[in-house]
Amino acid sequence: MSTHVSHATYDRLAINRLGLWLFIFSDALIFAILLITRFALFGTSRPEELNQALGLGLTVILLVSSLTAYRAEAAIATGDRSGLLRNLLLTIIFGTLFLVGVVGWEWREAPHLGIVPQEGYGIAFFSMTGLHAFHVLTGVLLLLIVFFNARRGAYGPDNYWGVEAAVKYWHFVDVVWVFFYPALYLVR
Amino acid sequence: MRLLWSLGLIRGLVWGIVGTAIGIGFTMLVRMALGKPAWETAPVTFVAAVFGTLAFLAGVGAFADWWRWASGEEAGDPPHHHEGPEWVRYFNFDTDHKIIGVQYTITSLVLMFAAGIMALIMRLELAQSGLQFVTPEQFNSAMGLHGIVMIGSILLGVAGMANYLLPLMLGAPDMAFPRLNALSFWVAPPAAILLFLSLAFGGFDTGWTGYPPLGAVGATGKQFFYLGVFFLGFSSILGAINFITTTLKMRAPGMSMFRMPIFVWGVFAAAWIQLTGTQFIGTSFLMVVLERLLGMGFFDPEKGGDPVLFQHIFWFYSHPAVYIFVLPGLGVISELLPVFVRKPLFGYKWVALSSMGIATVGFLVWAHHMFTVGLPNEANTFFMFTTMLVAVPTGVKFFSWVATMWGGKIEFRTPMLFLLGAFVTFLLGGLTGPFLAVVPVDQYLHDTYFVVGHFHNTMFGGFVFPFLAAIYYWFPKVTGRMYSERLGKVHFWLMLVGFVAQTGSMFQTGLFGMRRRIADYDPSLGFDTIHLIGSIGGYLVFFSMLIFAYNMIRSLVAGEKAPANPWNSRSLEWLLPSPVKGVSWPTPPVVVGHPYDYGVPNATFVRLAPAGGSDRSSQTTTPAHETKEANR
Amino acid sequence: MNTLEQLRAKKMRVGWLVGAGLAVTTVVEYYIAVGLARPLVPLAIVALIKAWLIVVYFMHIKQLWTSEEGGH
Ligand SMILES: [Cu+2]
Repeated sequence: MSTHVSHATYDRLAINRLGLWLFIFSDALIFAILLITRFALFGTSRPEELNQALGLGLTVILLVSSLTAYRAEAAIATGDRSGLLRNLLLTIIFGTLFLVGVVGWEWREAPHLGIVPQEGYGIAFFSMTGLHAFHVLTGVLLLLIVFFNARRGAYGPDNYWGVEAAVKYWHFVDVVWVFFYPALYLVR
Repeated sequence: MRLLWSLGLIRGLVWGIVGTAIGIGFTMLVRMALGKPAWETAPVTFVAAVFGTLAFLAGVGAFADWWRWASGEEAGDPPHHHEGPEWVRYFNFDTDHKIIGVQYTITSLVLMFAAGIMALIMRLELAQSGLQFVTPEQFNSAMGLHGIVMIGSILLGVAGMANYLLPLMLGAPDMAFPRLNALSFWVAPPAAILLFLSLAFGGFDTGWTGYPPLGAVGATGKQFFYLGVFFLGFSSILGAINFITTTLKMRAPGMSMFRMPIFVWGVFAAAWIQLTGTQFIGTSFLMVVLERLLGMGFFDPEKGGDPVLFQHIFWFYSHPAVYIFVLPGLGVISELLPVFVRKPLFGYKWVALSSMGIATVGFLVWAHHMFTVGLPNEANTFFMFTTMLVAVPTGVKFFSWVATMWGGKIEFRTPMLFLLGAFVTFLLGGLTGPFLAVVPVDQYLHDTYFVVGHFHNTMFGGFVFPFLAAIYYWFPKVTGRMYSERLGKVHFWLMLVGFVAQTGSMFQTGLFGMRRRIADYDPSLGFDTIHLIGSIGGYLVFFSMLIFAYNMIRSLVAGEKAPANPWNSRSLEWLLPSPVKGVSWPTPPVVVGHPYDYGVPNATFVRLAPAGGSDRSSQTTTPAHETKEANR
Repeated sequence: MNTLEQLRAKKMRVGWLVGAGLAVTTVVEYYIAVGLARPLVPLAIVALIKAWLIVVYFMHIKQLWTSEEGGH
């Protein structure tokens, strides 16, 4: 029996993209559930004590990181390897900054403002930021792998699926925050 | 010894144990560093279980290729060559969808037997009023395990059929993501182990629904239950990604969506529920675990939480979940029926779309499990109507089957008998459904054995009977041998009689107020005889499954050689030799017609591409005697 | 090579435009929250616009149904 498969028949890239989108769609629902939980339990109320400057700062950092991630993909798609490396590194730095801001700063400060994970608004606040931070962490790890693979010259304008996948995932994490930021910090 | 170590399963178990130990040590160190007492059963065992599961997967070799990719090597295509004896592949991380399909199916059957034993324990206790054999706590654990292990078994059974058949039926070389496919299978064994480990930590007395507040307190065993379900769900989601992508992107040339085998439609519709719905049970259970471990009061009113919220999230998956089980099962019925009555499937397009219809409407009915919660009347009424609506697409399927059989020449071989069994039980389950959908009736029948009877009939009609029909039907394809027709028929009749007796007793006691999830009942209710009949029926079902197991094992070793196409099926998979060796379809066939034109003169479904080489190039799927039959 | 350069310039321009769009919507979002008594619905609309910008221009969701663009 032949073991050779005629790969030409299948568009591997289209298959990969569909699979990734399905994964993202499914994953997005976890965040949707937490978002619903937040409104179901606490309506549109929120504590006044939240650190607004920090919230806005984190949002800006994450949006900028999405721009650099986009530029990384655009760079490799047009054959610019050093642009890829530069922008990947920037994205990783911004992502790490975001993590430090949420886990290292916001999580330390919130309990002093009366927002604790065990009860009241803190249940929603910590579960939502926590799950999101976990995704940011995995995104940063993914980008790191891609970064080191890129340094070894693994990608070119005709094959950069690894970059594309990591970047898409990163944008997805950003989109989640686009909804979480107003839901956690802004609604009334 | 070397042979033993070459088995991924053994490596996984050893690594899993080591990983668990490391997890225990790690958690205790972290706890000490945080200034807490080193040992506390709940958090330590939880982290250890997660570590153990990941280590199991690493030991099996599930992460090998991803690790290679992460460390900068080229992972390449999954290998098609294998050394050593063939059977070893079934115990290893293997990317061939046919191996994975068999792995899933066998695991599913093993779990089905395990969960069946739990049912036997319950039936034994219920056979007589008073407590004879188990404590109420043990009864509750047996009940919860029966439920959740059966659900796991069914999910794996669906994945088994889908994995084995999808590429064969679609003319694809393999699934879209073979590595992911193998990973999603190998998540299941540790998940099942976790479910059973719950027994070692005090069991879980919540039943498979795991409602808080009861679920949020008490024995550590509940955490193993929640975690096991979480991993099973993970496996299910990854599987769904594969099913959807394969269906959309890897069909043979000429096979439009409406030329797909109808079974694929069932799997495709179910996969969308798997992909989306499963997150809801997973997240709801995750929230309960967070409440248990970190005190986050999602469902604790004293802390600002709401226990009813859990039920909403939970049932948003757990109602559609039954369609994950039933849609592929009903797909099997629509797939096999035309073969055994030698007539085209009636209303193919409607049957295909009804699967999507059921999958959609299924997401709008969840609160019919909550009619006694005290939701607003408007909500209850809404969910009553949407629930009734499910009967419409389901009815489309039923009438299609009746019309397909109408005037057909039915061949009563074992798979066909199981289809008839499915009709009987699915009809019983279907007809009792609308009663339960009506709010006032449900408020009387809620949590009685009437519900249990209804549910088991839908499950047997929608999944168990079709699943067994599928196993008999494709057994020659998978093994190249025939099963024993005589034993198959004995299996069927024992099972049908036993099952109807068992659920009949459930309907009757339920109508008279027998509560479910209770180990004992008042002898003055007069249920003793009818419960005894139910128990005898239950044991009969189990006994018939033993005959089935014997039949399968004996036929695997010493069954007659199967003919190339024992059912004269037109479907793609029967064009390949049995068992299929190597890559399923190295060159895709070309589809030129409709799959179910049985008895239609000169109807051709498929032409094999000449590049496929060798002797199969000129075959088509019209069996030789077919044209005669049509002129009858 | 010239065409690749042009393509890159075009992609970068799209990037800056979308980035500017995100910046503007974020400012708008902030002032909605500060200024309105019931900001829920306007905030949801702005969030949807931002998500749409990212999903369409950064994540290229159209690749799912148009195979020509962005193939590599
Ligand atoms: Cu339901």
